[in-house]
Amino acid sequence: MDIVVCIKRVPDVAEADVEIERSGLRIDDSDLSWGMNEWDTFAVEEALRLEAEHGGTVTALTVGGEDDEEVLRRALAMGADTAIRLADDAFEGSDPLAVATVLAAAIRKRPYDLVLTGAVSGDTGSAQLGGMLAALLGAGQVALATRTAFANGKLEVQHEVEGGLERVVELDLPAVVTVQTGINEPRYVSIRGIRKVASVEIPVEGAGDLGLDVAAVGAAGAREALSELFLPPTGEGAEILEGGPDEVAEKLVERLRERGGI
Amino acid sequence: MDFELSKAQKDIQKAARDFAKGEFSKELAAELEAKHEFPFDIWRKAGELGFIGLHYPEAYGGQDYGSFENALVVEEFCRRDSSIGSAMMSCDFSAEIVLRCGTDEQKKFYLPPVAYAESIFGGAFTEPDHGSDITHMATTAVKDGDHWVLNGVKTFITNGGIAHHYVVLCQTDDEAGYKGQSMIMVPGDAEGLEITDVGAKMGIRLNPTGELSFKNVRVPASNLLGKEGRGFYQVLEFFDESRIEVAAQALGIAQGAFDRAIAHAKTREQFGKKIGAFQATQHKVADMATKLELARLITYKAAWNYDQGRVDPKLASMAKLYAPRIAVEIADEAIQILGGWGYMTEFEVERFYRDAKITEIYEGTKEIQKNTIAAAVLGKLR
Amino acid sequence: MSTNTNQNPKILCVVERAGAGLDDTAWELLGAARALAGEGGSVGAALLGEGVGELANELARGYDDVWVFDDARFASWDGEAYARALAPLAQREQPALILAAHTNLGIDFAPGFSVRAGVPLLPDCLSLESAGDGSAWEAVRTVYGGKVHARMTCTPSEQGAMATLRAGAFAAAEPGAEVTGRVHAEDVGDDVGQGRRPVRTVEPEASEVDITQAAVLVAVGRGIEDEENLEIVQSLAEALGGEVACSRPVVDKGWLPKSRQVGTSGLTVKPKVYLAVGISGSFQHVGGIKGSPFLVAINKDARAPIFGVADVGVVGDLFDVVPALEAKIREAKG
Ligand SMILES: Cc1cc2nc3c(=O)[nH]c(=O)nc-3n(C[C@H](O)[C@H](O)[C@H](O)COP(=O)(O)OP(=O)(O)OC[C@H]3O[C@@H](n4cnc5c(N)ncnc54)[C@H](O)[C@@H]3O)c2cc1C
Ligand SMILES: Cc1cc2nc3c(=O)[nH]c(=O)nc-3n(C[C@H](O)[C@H](O)[C@H](O)COP(=O)(O)OP(=O)(O)OC[C@H]3O[C@@H](n4cnc5c(N)ncnc54)[C@H](O)[C@@H]3O)c2cc1C
Ligand SMILES: Cc1cc2nc3c(=O)[nH]c(=O)nc-3n(C[C@H](O)[C@H](O)[C@H](O)COP(=O)(O)OP(=O)(O)OC[C@H]3O[C@@H](n4cnc5c(N)ncnc54)[C@H](O)[C@@H]3O)c2cc1C
Repeated sequence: MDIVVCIKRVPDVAEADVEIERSGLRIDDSDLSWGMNEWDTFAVEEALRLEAEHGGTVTALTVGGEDDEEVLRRALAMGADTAIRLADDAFEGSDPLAVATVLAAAIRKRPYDLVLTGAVSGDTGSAQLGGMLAALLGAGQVALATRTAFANGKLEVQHEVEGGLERVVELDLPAVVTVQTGINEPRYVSIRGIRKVASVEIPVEGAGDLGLDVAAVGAAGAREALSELFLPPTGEGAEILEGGPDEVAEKLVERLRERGGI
Repeated sequence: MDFELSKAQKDIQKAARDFAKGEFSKELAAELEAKHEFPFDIWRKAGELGFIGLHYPEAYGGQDYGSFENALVVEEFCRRDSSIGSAMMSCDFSAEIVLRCGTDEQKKFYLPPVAYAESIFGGAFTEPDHGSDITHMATTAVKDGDHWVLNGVKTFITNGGIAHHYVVLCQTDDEAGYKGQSMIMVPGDAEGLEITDVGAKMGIRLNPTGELSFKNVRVPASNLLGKEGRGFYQVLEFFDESRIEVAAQALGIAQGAFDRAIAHAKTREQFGKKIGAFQATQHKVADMATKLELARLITYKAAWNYDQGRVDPKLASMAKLYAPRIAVEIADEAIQILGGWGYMTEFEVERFYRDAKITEIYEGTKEIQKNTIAAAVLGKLR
Repeated sequence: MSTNTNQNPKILCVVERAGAGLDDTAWELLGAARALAGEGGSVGAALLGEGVGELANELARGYDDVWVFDDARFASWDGEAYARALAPLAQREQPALILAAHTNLGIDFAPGFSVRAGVPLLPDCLSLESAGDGSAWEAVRTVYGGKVHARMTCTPSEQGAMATLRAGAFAAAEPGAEVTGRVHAEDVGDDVGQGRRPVRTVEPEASEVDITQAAVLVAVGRGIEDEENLEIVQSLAEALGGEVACSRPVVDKGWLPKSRQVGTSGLTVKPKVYLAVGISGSFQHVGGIKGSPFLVAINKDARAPIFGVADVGVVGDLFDVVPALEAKIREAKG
């Protein structure tokens, strides 16, 4: 089975004080550490797992600049066979549909049975890419997979619907599946893996290579644009208890008592 | 000149960071510290992933990387946790002597199991009466047919009791002083080798520290490591490499204590302000950050030079002098910034402080480093 | 541009079912759509399913038009088949704006549909307004795990535009007492895609504790760091006489069973008191907490979004605060 995984590099904001740049259009990411989007690590692992069981190839794609190559090298070090970075000045300012358009063009160029993406990204978190990609490729699709199994040319996918309910569906291939966290246990990158890929030159493909009309991608093709980033209004929200652990514990006990928690 | 890490180096740094983040935790460290237990599970996983001995050649289980890349891993591990990191860093202590001085056969026998976390190493130089001064050893090895017979006592031996193999510095020619010393490989389960723990200690409690008592321990003549009569020199050559690793250990511990202090300074409020807003704290932070940067520069430079084949005992000693010193200072200031919390075990920095201190003592005290530096600067004075 | 401008626009809402009834979001979409449509606009609903006549009538008590796709192939939600079935409707009706809910089902359906319908998509909106004198839509959504808000602008295509709305973010419109809207039965073409076939539904695993019934929940998140550390929240829950619940990463790592997960892909709970320990407060998690309990957050990051929804917060290390709290509770209880 030939599998393509679409991955993205994002900053880790879990425990960071996020500040917004003066332009209002970017966060100040100078002190943040970057890495592969959490959901994508599960997608890569799932691709490698399916490849190990059923053979084939795993190709990792990202649309991004030179710095973003890092996540492709990580995918290679985890065990992916090929990685390609999709980059072109014309891609600047792309909206999610344009990113999907670029990826679809790259995927169409090669044989593929399955495309995996993370269900959502930790930065912009719009959860759109997989569905858009499937529609552009004319392939089948399912979102939020928590299990996949391949047999008799069909892919069985368990995915999340609502309220803790999950559903198993059978998909004809080719198909696009977006992957949820917890579907597997992503492996650590090994030094052995890094060494194997240290000298690999990761090819870059641009609009020309992909046969893309530059008017359809980048800022030119974007119908969606960011006008402003801002911090959520404060003021509303929790009353913050001050003091050392014992002090706050004491105050909490009082509040809990008032509210019938004790 | 370029101060940027290469892509592969950044990947290694990140891989080490991710592994440490996923596997190390302060609760585990506290539990292992209380039990004085080596982190065997983490060690095995680290071996599988190639974090141990990445600076050995591929033929011997390594990844063909250099001291520099090894230093990056040690730094990241110790940054995440000073105790687990230190245990990981010293699990192959002295294996580099096999790498630099051993025969091909010895390297093939000893090194791959170390890299794959099947074998732990110990280096036994220090004796009760010979610490900084190892120019004469009381432990002897005498040829008896095709065997060596060892007698004597080694003390303060890291991994004593859990190591599978020890590199033992012995006097093989009692008349010849330091020119009469040789290194003999002794398996941990050798008959006549008795190992006892030296007792409670300030830090690095995840590594046992043992006293090795040799009573007519017989090992094959082929267990000689390097050249007969060259043992002393082999230790010094090893230190040119291992002191850089200790500098990286200290650097990581310093960075880890610093990270925790910064997080606290940004959140803790007193007198209606974040304590980081007081100039007294700001100046502390500025000094700490500057020292860290200097320690990193000198450690990286020493490692890089070593990998270029420019072995420089003076630079290695400078790194081993400076990084440990600032690690102790920064961990101390970190405790101070955390105030009463810093003094409590739960907040880790007191453990970082206790773990930092050993880096000023083992593999040559800071005074011995100064002797080495001064000797290199001044030359032989008459 | 479509024939409809944002002034008095025609809006199409793709509504979701929940069990045998309608999902709450069906009325939230209506509330949002009415506000945007104003007096002169119109608001329609598209409903897919099998034997959903009753539900269509219910919708017609609030929506102006209800287009019903009644077919066995729609018995269970299938984002792909729904997208294929609805594309012709959108082409025919030419709504200026299509709305759906940003639920798991919405995530499965909306992106692919927006491409098929040829409209740009504004996902996961917390608010949605007409902008640029009616030539564009403006939405606010959360990014970076809820730590930052983003104002997005979207220029419709010839075919209009689409947005998905976060569940609970828009006030629901109450259905009227009478059926006032028109119900249209739609033909279902053959091309709804047989590429994806339902096999079975997997119910949440049964468990001996039912967190949906607990009055006091101590919910633990990724901040707990390690399985072994769960002990401290377990004994806090015990001291409070409550149950332990958790966020998704804790389940993903296999530390607690799925039956303890609160959130949009877990269970919906209605306790009196909810302690969120080491939980950042993603909308998928908070979305599972209903009935406005007394919400206490313990988190070391003062900027964690959970503090935005909590009643009382403690900015601190859970490894300190939780044991201290347990001790004080045991003391208070004598
Ligand atoms: C936890 C731990 C682990 C260790 N692990 C190992 C190990 O694995 N293998 C091993 O072989 N050893 C190990 N050691 C021993 C360590 O290397 C020695 O403790 C160290 O070399 C100092 O020797 P000493 O303790 O005998 O101190 P001494 O040599 O007695 O020194 C005492 C003091 O005198 C100073 N001093 C000595 N000579 C001079 C001089 N010429 N000029 C100025 N000052 C001087 C020293 O700097 C020091 O401050 C370990 C020690 C500890 C505590
Ligand atoms: C083992 C132990 C025993 C103790 N015993 C007692 C006891 O018996 N009785 C008792 O009452 N307390 C006791 N304490 C508490 C102790 O007095 C406090 O820890 C100490 O006063 C510091 O307060 P803090 O820990 O809250 O640190 P903080 O006040 O938060 O200080 C943190 C850091 O910020 C710095 N800082 C704070 N304000 C300023 C400022 N304005 N300008 C510059 N720097 C500033 C501090 O110097 C420190 O470096 C004990 C603490 C410990 C660890
Ligand atoms: C379609 C979909 C469905 C989803 N469904 C659900 C769902 O049903 N339920 C759910 O929970 N999530 C769900 N998620 C995941 C959700 O997006 C978040 O990733 C998740 O809720 C984060 O869990 P968390 O808050 O435990 O972890 P994090 O976001 O990583 O937050 C951990 C928090 O712990 C704090 N912390 C760390 N250490 C300490 C300490 N020592 N003391 C105090 N605080 C500390 C940190 O500051 C941080 O705020 C879903 C995601 C998707 C895409």
